[in-house]
Amino acid sequence: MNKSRLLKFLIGIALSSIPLLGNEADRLFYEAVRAEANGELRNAVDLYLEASTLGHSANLHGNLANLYFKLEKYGHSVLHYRKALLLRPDDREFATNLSFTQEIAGIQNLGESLTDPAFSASNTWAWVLVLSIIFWGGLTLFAILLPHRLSKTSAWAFLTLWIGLLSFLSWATHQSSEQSYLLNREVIVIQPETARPNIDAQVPLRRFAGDGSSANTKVKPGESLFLDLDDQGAPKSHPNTEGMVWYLLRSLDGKKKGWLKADEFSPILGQLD
Amino acid sequence: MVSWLLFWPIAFLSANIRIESNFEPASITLSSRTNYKIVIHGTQSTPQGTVPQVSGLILSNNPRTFRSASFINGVPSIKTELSFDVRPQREGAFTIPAWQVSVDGKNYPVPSSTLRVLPPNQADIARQKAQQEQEKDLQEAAFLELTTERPFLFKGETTAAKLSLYLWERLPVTKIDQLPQKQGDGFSISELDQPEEKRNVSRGNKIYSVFTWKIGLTGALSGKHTLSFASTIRVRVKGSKNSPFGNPFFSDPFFGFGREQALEIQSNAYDFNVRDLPTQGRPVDFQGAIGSFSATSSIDLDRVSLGDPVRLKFVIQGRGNFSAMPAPTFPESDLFRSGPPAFSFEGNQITKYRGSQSFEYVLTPLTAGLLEVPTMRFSYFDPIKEKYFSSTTSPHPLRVDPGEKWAQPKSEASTEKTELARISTRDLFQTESDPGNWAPSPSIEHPFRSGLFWSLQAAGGLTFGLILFLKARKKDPRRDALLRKEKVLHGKLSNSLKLKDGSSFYQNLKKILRLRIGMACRHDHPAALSTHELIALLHKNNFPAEVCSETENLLEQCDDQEYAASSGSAQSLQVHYQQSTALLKKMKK
Repeated sequence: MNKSRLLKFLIGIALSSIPLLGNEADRLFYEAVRAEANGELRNAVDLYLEASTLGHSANLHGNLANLYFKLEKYGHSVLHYRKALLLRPDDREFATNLSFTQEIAGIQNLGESLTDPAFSASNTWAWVLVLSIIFWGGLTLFAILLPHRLSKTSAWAFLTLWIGLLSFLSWATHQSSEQSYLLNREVIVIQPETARPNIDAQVPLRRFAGDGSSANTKVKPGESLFLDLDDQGAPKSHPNTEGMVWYLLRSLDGKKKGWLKADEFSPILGQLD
Repeated sequence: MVSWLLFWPIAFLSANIRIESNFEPASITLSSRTNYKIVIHGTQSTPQGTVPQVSGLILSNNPRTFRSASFINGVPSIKTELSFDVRPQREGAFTIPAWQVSVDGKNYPVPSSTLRVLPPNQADIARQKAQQEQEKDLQEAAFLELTTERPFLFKGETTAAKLSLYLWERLPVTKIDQLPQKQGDGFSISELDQPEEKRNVSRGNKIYSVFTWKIGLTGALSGKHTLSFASTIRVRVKGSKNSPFGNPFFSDPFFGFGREQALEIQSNAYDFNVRDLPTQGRPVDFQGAIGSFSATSSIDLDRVSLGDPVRLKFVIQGRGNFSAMPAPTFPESDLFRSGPPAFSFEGNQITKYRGSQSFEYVLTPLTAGLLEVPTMRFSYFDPIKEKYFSSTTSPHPLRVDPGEKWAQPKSEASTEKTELARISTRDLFQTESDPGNWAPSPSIEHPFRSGLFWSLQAAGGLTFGLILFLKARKKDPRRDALLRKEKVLHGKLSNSLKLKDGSSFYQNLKKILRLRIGMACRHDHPAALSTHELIALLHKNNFPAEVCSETENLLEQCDDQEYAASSGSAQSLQVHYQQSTALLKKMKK
């Protein structure tokens, strides 16, 4: 009896805290808008980032991206436009601003141009749902109609059409899943806080996981790279003696490859393990 | 009607019973009281009876009872005395007639008695006057008073009012138990804050401590309404109930000692008329503001870059119903985008009657150039002048610089890019003033890790499986026919058992056993097999030896009946029926 009451109490507390989180995030958002109106751009960025620890909204990441653009931190700006577009994929304003920022930062939009938007990661669910409905619907229909209610010709026509549809939908689902898989590995290169303006405009991709290592090549803040995964599916990483973790990354076409420190990039989805 | 029922210990002595009755005193003034006494000599038993009712006299319900025993000149004497409190209602002579009282099951007469009630004398009049003065004193000792500036209110109008609690300095108040509560549905009042306290306030011939609350009084319902207030205070009173002055609070030399008692205080009832607002001359943008106001506006910057926000402050000053005042709407235009305003009120936060209300809008210019922040109009109703007024702010010039020269990204071959290129640069990098919908994470959950996906698959699979199962069940007509046949035979078997028809019983039993063996061993024609062949078939299909032997016994019984016509008793039919039922069940398994 006491346990059930305690459980109800805890559930009540948990449920009542959900709107409170929303209110707190709202409050921080509005404070950030005011700070921006007062010209306190750094303060506004901090407030938006604090709000993003409580929840995510397309407008929050859009505003944050705008602020980073004004602060000429193009890597961060691209990162947050990408997040905003994940939350609202059909927002043309975000897409235009992202495109513009990438151009200002001198980045080629390679990853996005390779795939049709219909097979993007955000459409995976739609493809999976349609595939499931067609698969089970077709099987059920077959079971009902066969063997007496369907002529041989009609059955073959039905079967051909069904298999054709299933093949296409499976391929589309696979394409979309691949994009989703890539998105999970995708990171955006950012300028670390310790970077020297004008000198460290580009971030080196090192041959080995260490500051002293020479660079294979350099990448611009805002560029997309993809984490290399090990056999267990975890990012290939190497912690150094100072506690800094290095990650192995490569570009989508595989031409650029090297090690980056954890503060030199940020994943588009969530956090690094 | 006055009645009583008393139980006492049995009298220890009895004698001849004699009853007397009289009023003591027998003659009183109208404002006095007397006692109606009944003395029953010779018993201490409980008397029973009902005193007759007399118009103009009120007798107490519970009489006081006295019992006594004594020796008078060596003779023991016992008596019981009943005494009723009597209060007259008018002057005149009143007689309680003779009536019967029952003692130990015997009735005895109670003689009649007469009371004379005289007009009140000077002492009575003086006592009445003193009592009235004391009641007046009690009312004057603590009371609530409401003061307002307005003789009537308009519906929705808020006026400043003062609610004062007067406490006579001699009244030993220990605390205010309950703050004044409004009584009356036609009005709403603001929350009660800390009261202002004033001491030594003279009113009439008394000195008071006065606690005053400033409240905002708002007319809620139109029509004539009564408004009053009630409060409860706690005072210390003397312990004795028998105060010679009849008032527990006053004239007590030991004021301040004794028990605490709650004292309810009621204000006078104030009649107010709440009028509806006139419809004539009401501006379209009137949103319910009632009072006397003036509106001003200002912007924090007069020059900004495109996309940078500007703060517009709209201030309403004066007195009126600030608590019910909605934010004025910023006029929609292609030049500015505005978000919901922030509110702030300066003044008494409780009453919100007098002060200034600020609304701060964050405006985002949508185009570059020399723009003008548009005027804002605020309409209100002045309850003193009984007219509608509008206050309009002045426009504010604002220079919006185009900012950085942002070039459009190079257009590519795709249709989407062409569409993007059409978007004006003025829409770029606009700060959104509203967060929109919140999501716990920007990530997309993979379907394979989602419960919904697997639920969908399970639902599809189950539907498909169910249809297959239903179809498969329908497909064995031969088995269905055999089952039907077995059912019919079973009916016949039961019937022959009831009729004790041995011949029919064993015929049907043999048929059922053959049918069941055929079904169990998948033999198409079991009727063509002999008993030995049937048993061999059972052995071949690995049926237990027990089943085989039981089957053989039963079949032999059937053969005996068929070929040897041995007579089966009713008892043996019943036994064979039970055996066959158990056996058929085993074969089914």
